[in-house]
Amino acid sequence: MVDDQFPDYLNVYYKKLFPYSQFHKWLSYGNIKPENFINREFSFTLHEDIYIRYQSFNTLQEFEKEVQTRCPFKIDIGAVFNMSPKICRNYPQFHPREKELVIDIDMTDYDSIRTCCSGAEVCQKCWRFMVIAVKILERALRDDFGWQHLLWVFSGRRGIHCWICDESARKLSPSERGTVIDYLAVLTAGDSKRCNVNHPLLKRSISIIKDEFKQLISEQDFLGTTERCNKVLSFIADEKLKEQINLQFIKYQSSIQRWEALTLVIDNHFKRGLLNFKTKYCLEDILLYLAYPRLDVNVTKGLNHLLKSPFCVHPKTGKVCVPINPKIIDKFNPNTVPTINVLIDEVNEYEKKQKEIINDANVNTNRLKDYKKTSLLKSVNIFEEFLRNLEYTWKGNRIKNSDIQMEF
Amino acid sequence: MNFTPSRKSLGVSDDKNKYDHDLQLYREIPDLDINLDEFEEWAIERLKVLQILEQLSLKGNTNNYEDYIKSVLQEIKKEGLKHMFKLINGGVYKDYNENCEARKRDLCSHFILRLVYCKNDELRKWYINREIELFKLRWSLLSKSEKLKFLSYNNTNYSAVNEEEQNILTENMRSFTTSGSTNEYFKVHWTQVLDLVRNRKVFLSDGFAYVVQNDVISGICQTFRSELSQELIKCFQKFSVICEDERFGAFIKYLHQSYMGKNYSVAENMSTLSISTIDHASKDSFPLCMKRLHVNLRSEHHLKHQARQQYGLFLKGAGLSLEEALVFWKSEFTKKMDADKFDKQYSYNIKHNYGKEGKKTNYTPYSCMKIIMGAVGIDEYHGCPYKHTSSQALKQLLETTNISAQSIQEILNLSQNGHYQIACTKYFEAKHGISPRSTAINHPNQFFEESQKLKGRTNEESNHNGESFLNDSLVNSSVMDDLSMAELEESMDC
Ligand code: SF4
Ligand SMILES: [Zn+2]
Repeated sequence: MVDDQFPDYLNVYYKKLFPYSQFHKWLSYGNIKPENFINREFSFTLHEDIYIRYQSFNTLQEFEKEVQTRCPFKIDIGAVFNMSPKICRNYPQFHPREKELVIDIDMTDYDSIRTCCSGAEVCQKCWRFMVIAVKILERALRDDFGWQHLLWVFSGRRGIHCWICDESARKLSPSERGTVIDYLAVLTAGDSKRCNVNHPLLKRSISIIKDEFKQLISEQDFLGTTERCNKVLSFIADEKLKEQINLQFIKYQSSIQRWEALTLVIDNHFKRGLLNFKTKYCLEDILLYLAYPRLDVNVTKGLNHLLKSPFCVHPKTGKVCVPINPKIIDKFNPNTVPTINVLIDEVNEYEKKQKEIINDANVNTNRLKDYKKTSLLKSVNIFEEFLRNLEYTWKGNRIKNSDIQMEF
Repeated sequence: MNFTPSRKSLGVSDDKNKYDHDLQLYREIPDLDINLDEFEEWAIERLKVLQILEQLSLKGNTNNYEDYIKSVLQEIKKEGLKHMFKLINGGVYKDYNENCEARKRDLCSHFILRLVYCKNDELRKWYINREIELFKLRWSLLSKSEKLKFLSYNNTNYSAVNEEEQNILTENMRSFTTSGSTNEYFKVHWTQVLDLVRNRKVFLSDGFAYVVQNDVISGICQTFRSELSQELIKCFQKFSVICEDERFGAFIKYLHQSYMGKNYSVAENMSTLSISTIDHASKDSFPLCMKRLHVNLRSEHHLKHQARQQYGLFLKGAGLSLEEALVFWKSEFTKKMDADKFDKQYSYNIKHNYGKEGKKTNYTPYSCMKIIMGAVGIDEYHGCPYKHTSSQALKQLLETTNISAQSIQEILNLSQNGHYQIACTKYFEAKHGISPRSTAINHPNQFFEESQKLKGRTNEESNHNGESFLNDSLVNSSVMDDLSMAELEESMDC
């Protein structure tokens, strides 16, 4: 949408709508260690692609003021360093210490399989890939690694970021981060490398995929053309079996029918004990290839990798990078995410109405926070819910800390 | 540095807890005194074991691990390293004291070699890899109860799985256990077993990895590796202080360069090389490093100092007599300078190498390790061509040797991957159509001897008594003071 008005809108957005205090609360982590916020790197992308790194702020007020005066098109969040990034970034000892573990899923990585859109576009149909991804990762991160504080954020255009904020996750070394993402990234280069589909991670993921697959296949029309059919058939490493399935493909037209025929043939083979070690898991291989999350591994690996902050506004779409509630990810529609224009209209509208109503009564309208007057409210609520859960942990930590102090 | 004065203490009775297990993570320097002879002997012993491991894994027969273990044990036995042989083989000690003694040797020698191998990245990497290989091998030979004991002694953070967990696991773990094997699991935080997690070889739940007994080793190796690499760097920071001690400073500084196999300083039984055969032999029986020096000498009529040392000592080891050596060098050099200058500047050095001048030391020909570790400047031709030349130049060099293009490609690949000595062994095979009798080439003179043997120039069997040899200039063995391991540590920790 980038139009001439964007900088002006952004100005209003940062003055009235950006949830500074919640944001500060998040990155202070209970303020048990003040460095958490003070030594955190922020970087700003200003108008005309001017990029400034190593910003840091001592207080919420300082941060708020700087954002409002600079009015950045984009705010990135970096690591917590051992010293203040703003002052010490040229010191030889200066190095990153902690950061949330982050995961980036971008729709462009699905371009080789999605058939509805490509590039920057995204629609309800291809969003289903994201739904599957979130469901799979939610389970893996919570059940397998035991993390609880996951902040899912819409990336503003065509993807999702996940910020894993548990203390143990924030402290991971780069090689540990690499391990997590390698564990999760089942589809590696070359798309179709075989993996042990009996691993609990994969078994569980495959069953999640199966729940969504009927809809996905009809929306994406995965078996709609000969070319697409051949791509799927390439996962079947047995010429005879392939042949049989192909015959079915000729018989049926729709993707759904073809898929059902394919599973039937394979099932039959399985029951008659005709699958060998090469073909035993071809169905699973296909499901994974078509629907398993495609992850940007490098974003996760680096401790020093910057990632766009929640509540930024995407300059091209005008959409706000809002937190997402993973429990109702099915309901999330990337195309109805509040845009900056709408939000500002909403504020104005509200104020106009209020003025009319209370013209006579002497009530102060400003008591209500501005975001509460808009559709951003829902997103801030999700964020606050996430913060409430986090708060329990640092309350626990405070008690632990005071216990330790008592001993001395 | 303050070493305790001579004091014999080999008492083992009070050392029980320190040698509580055959296998160690070497986390604590033993608190005991050893004398300088032991210091050297034990270090050399361990180095030999590590070299055997390297040789055999260089040979590439690690695919079948059991065969690999067998050949390692065989080789260790053959070399007469009986302490390590028994220790590795586990549980064959009837005598408790003897067992403690062997454990003590193992412990001390590990720490001494840390000093020897801490100096640069390449050495550290070599040492860590060898120690890990040794560790893995020893682990695999432990009995199950010994393994469990090891885990608990070393606070490895592995805990047993209770029955309730076990039941939940059985379903989930099915894909990780090959049918028939017992389902013995250990629970450990996932960050302790990154490799297993990365490759999805373990079941994860709530931040814990459930590891099959056989995979436990992978995690422990990871710990061992990172601890050892940190310790070596610490050690290096103290290195200069330790080396000031004249009793063993030189030993520590140079041990890694010395060749532990046969000593080629005197070519006792095979004076085969003479001026008349040298050109021919250089084509057929010289390793590439020496062939290149020979060609250079013939075409340039000169070699720089390092090159003269490397080549001259090799020729000596190959049986060229001093008299012939003098004639040989002179005939080339004087094509560019007058005889007078040669006599003044160069003949001394040649005689010196033969132990006929100066300190009268009989110098040893350089081993591959020494040559490979050496520095080679631009425009210098010594060193090992597999390491010290660009692959372009190496290719050209190989193309002059009449071996097949396929062999050349293989050799180039090996050298690019840092397997210089295997590359050299491959070259030997390509030249002779048969691999060398010993596992791999580790000395240029060994290359030469084996080649000559194949060509039937000598019928005599050289005696492979495997006796270790250290250049006299390295060790002043008259110093017999005891060293305290603890103080060694102190100086490393200071
Ligand atoms: S490996 Fe040894 S013998 Fe072979 S070329 Fe290199 S230094 Fe010479
Ligand atoms: Zn779409």
